Amino acid sequence: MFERFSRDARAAVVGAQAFGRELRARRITTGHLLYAVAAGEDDAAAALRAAGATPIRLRDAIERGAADPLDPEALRAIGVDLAAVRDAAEAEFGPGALDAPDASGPYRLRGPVFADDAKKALELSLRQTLKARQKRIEAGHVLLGLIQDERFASVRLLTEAGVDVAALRADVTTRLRAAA
Amino acid sequence: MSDGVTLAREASSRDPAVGLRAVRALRELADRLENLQVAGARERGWTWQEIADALGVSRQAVHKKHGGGRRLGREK
Repeated sequence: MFERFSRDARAAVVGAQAFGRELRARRITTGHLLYAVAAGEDDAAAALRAAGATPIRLRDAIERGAADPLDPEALRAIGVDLAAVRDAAEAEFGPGALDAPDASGPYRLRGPVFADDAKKALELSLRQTLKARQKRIEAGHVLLGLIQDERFASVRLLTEAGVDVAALRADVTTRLRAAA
Repeated sequence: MSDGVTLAREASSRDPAVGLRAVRALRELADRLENLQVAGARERGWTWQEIADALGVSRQAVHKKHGGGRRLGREK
């Protein structure tokens, strides 16, 4: 599938990986992909900016939303002392053992892997391309994939930024058609 | 048991959201501990079969989850 990606769409995928690695994320999410599309220089980035979703705003929202997945408060509520577990893990495996990205698995070679919904969004971008009878997957198709399923974090980020997702979809579709 | 924990427990029994968040966090915690322990066992020379037996899963399952990064030949 990747060989059908345009230069800009590839840049978005590679940019999402770089962004995820920078944030020390364990998985590349639809949010990371959305940020990378917005940070591009093509029509999709222009559509996002026109809708008010600038890379800086998205970046802030993603960083704020990246709460600790170990959720110490919730664990405490069921009687698990995360600090004690962390101490025990560090005593055996070294400082930061529990919080370091998984260094034993695929992470070590490739960095964070794509989360399931991010993979799904990329598959949807291929389907959007086929549906529009276009050959190459543009960054705009990736963006359409990212806003197709409202359960995606990318849709939530846009909604929270005050973006009208339906209007964005129409704008991106028009721009793709004009460019084809 | 501290009062804080008791209070928090009572609160969580009334709020499923907290309990569910805790379940999710426990899964993440278990995953991370599994990664550490499996890597530690491999360094000490445990076989995949021994690790699988200890975890109560199949050898294939444990190898699929933890074995990928160690074989460069499998990379695309």
